[in-house]
Formats: sequence, C-alpha cells, structure tokens
Amino acid sequence: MATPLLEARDISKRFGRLQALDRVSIALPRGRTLALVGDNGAGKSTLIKILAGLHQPDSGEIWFEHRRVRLESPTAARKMGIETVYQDLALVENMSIARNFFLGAEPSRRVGPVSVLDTAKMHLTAESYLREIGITSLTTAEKEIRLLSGGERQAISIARAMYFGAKVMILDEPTSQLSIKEARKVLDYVHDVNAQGLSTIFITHNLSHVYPVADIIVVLYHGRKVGEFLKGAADPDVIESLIVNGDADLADRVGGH
Amino acid sequence: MLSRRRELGAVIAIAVTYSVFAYLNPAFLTWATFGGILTIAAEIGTITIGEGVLMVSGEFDLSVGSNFTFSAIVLGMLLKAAVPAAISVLTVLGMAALIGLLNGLITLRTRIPSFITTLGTLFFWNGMALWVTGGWPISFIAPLPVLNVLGNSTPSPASSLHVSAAWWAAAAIIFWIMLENTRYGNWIYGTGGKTEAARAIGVPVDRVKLINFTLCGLLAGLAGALQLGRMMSISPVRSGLELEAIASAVVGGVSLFGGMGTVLGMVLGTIALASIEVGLVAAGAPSFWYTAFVGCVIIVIVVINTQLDQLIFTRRS
Repeated sequence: MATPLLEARDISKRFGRLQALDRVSIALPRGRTLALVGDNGAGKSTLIKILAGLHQPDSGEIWFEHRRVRLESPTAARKMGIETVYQDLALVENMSIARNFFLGAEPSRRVGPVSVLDTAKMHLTAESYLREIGITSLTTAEKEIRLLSGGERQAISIARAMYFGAKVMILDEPTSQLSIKEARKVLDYVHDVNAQGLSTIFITHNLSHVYPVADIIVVLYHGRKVGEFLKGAADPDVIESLIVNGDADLADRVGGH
Repeated sequence: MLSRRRELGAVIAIAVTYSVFAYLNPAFLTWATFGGILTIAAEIGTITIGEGVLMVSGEFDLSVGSNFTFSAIVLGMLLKAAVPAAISVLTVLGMAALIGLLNGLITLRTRIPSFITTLGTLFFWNGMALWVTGGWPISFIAPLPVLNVLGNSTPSPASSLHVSAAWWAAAAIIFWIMLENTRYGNWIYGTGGKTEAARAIGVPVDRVKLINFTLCGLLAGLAGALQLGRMMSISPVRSGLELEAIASAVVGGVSLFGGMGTVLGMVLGTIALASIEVGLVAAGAPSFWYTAFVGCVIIVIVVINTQLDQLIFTRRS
C-alpha cells in the first residue's frame, strides 16, 4: 500500500497505574478504512482520543501527511483534517442540528460593532450537507438533536466532519447503539466517504460490522497491539480469539503481519 | 428551539397573576402598578440575567446576593469618602467581576461543585459586608447625581418607574444578543448542554464557565449599585436575593441542569415573581405570603415545563 496518510508510532499512555497503551503503532493509508477492534479496556478509546488531540501520549510519534505533528488540542487536530465522531458525545441534545453542526466553528458576520452568528448560512449549509449524505428524513436543520434517531445523529456527525474538510474521519463505535437497518445505513455512509478519498478509522467491537468496510483490521488487547490483518487475510475466529485472549502467537501463525 | 417554549411557564404565571389580582383590586391594572413591578424587578432581574446565563453553562452562583450587598456597601463607602463617581462605580463593578472570577477559579481549579464554592463565598462576602460596616446600614440623605443616574431618578416626579429599569433593559439586550446571536452564546449552550461533547469538538468549556462566573459577578455588583441608587441606602444584612434570582431564572425556563434557557425567559420570570409580590401587597395580603406563594409557583412551573418536554419528546419518538 502507498505511504500512510496518518501514522501513530510506538504510542504509550499511562493513567496512574494503568498502562492504557503500550507502544502501539498503526498506519492508515489514504482512502482506506482501518478498523480498530478489541474488548472494553483494550485501549481503543485512548488511542483515538490521542489521535483526536484530546489526550497527549506519554511517548511515541504521530505522523500526518509525511510530517511529524503534535495534536495538542481537538481544535489542532480538526485544523489538520482529523475529525472524530464520538459515539455518545458527538452532539448536544438540546441544541438544533444547525447549532450542533457548527459548534466550535460558527460562521459569523458583522452587524455594526458586533459579530453575530450567520444563522442563514448555518441552516443552508447544514441542510445541503444532510441532503448530500442522503438523509431524506430531515428537511430542516431547526430540529433539536434529541428528537432524532441514532442513525440520523451519526449521519449528522459524518456530514459535519465532511463539511469541515476532514481527511481522516475517526468513528467511535458508530453502529453500537443502532438498529440493524440503521447500522447498515451508517456503513453505507462510510463507504461513500471512502469513495470520496477520505480515510476512516472505525472503532467497534461488533466484528460483523467490520468485515464489509475494513481494509485493515487492528486488534488491541490490554493496551497492546496483538494483531493486524489486511482485508481477506482475516479469519473471524482468529480475530475473535485475539480480542478475547490477546494470543499474539496464534495471530503470527495465521497470516497476520 | 424548544427552550423558547419553556418560557411559556412564565407567560402563564404573569397572565394568571394579572387576572387574579386585577379581579381582587382593579387598581392593579394601571401603568403605575406596572412601573412599580418593573422597578422591583430591575435589581433582581439584573442578577437573574448573570445567574441565568451561568446556569445555562451548567454552573451556579449562590454568592450573588452577598456580592450584591458587598458591592453596594463598597460603592456607598467610596462615595462617602468623596471618591469621584465614575471611579467609584468602575472600581465596584471591577471588584464584583473579580468576586465572580474567584468563584470560577476555585470551582474549576479544584473541580468542586460551584454549589459548594459559592455557598462558601456567600458566607464569606456576607461576613465581609458586616465587618466593614459594623452591621450598620449605609445611607445617603441628599441624593448624589451618581445615585440619580443609577436608580433614583424617575420619568416624572410621581412615577413608580425608576431609571434602574433602563439599566436592566440595557443588560437584557446585550446579554440577549450575546446568548442567542453570537458564537460565544452557542458555546455557552454547548458547554451546559453536554460539556464533554463541547470540549471534544473544541469549545474551550472551562474558559466559557470562567467568563460566565465573571459576568455573573459583574451583574450582581451592578444590581447592588442600582439598588443603592434607588433606595440611597443599603443594609449589610443577608438579602437572600440569590434564591430569588435562581427562582426567577427557573420560572423563566432556565434549566437547573444547564444547556437550556433564554434571556427573554429570565426577564419574564423576574417580572412574574415581581408581579406576584406587588399583587399580594396591592391585595392587602401580609408580605410573608409572597415567600410561600413563590415556593408554590416555582414547583408548579417546573412541573409544567417538565411535562411539556415529555409531551413533545414522546410525540416525536
């Protein structure tokens, strides 16, 4: 595969006595989907929070577009083009779609001495991106998030990431709280996103959601990387056992690299 | 936005209050009465705006009543010491803002609930007010020009409306624009609505809270200055205004859990409670009825708001 767009090298992170990540490396090529799988507490969340700029690694390097980078805040990561869609903390329920869509990066215009929100632009843009991503159930960006379904919420987060020029989109358990039908829709969005040249990192513990979309599958276990597989080379039983037992020797024997 | 519908509680409260008291005493339906209501509402209402905006960002300030009193006292002492009026007022507003900032710094640095921080500073500043005055009120016999500008002057000699209401209106307009129509306002809703989500998307949530603590302190100090101006006197005894301000905000639809509320609601909530106060007096009821009545109104309105939310939510899903 081509040189990676985003690379994490030997990332370690400790919280008190807990070694959350121990020299973990991943490489994400352009236009591909990397699935990060593992049980609860495997270190998936810590790794993506580091890539999202929310946590700082104790050691290790992050490379993005051939340059070593420091992701010191979520805003810094977003500016570079790394957008993260968190499973349960992506959107503020009591706020409208438009207000959520632009939260933290609101467009404004000057009226006399004050700079006020450009609400017309916020609504038009949010609505046009919702159409583009193919949600037909939402016609107005006025609606509050808590009145929407889980799938609609994920779609809004994904549309938002696309609008803000994401090069890498990190999806944290995007399908975990959805019905099967809605999960399938979200997987379709991920497919469309890849087709437009974006790369995605997809965190999940539902293996059946990984296979249709992942080009690379990385397995974490107790903060360590215990397996990495290319599409097609992955045997679901092996991955399953890696997730549960972290048995890395087995993975080396059966086509990991 | 749904939060706009939550102002309905205050509108209903005002309508019911007006109907009942107009029936009991037709004199209630006069401009003079309404002017009196606005005058009473101006000082609490100014505190309520700061408190309400802070509540929308998910924090509380219980020390606004003590800040209010202490600020008015310091202003009175400065004016009595013949410090120029503009310098006195600006010093006191700056001090009130610092008192708010201190609440924010303690709360955010130590990660203790603002309820506790400001319960502590409520007692602290109340103690300071008693200490600097020795427990005696500060009064002015002859009105100074600055007191007239702040609160004492009226449109006509017999008017019950005081200029303090204009300062309240100005504060309301500025904070309405800030909360509803600026980027910062959107950050306030995000911070109070879901702190972690706002933080993750890049909103500087701690700075938002710190600024709101500071603004809350500033408005409490301004309210103190308005009251000193209107009454030409301030007592260091505990005012209890913090609870009235929180009550006004809640009646106006501000959520106790953050993320919801509008300045219009805060204004209507204050007017609702002030109407009840004036109405009970006009109807000849003993003044302590007001306290008991307000207690009932708060509960009824929060129940109505909660039911409304449930109704809207279940109809949708």
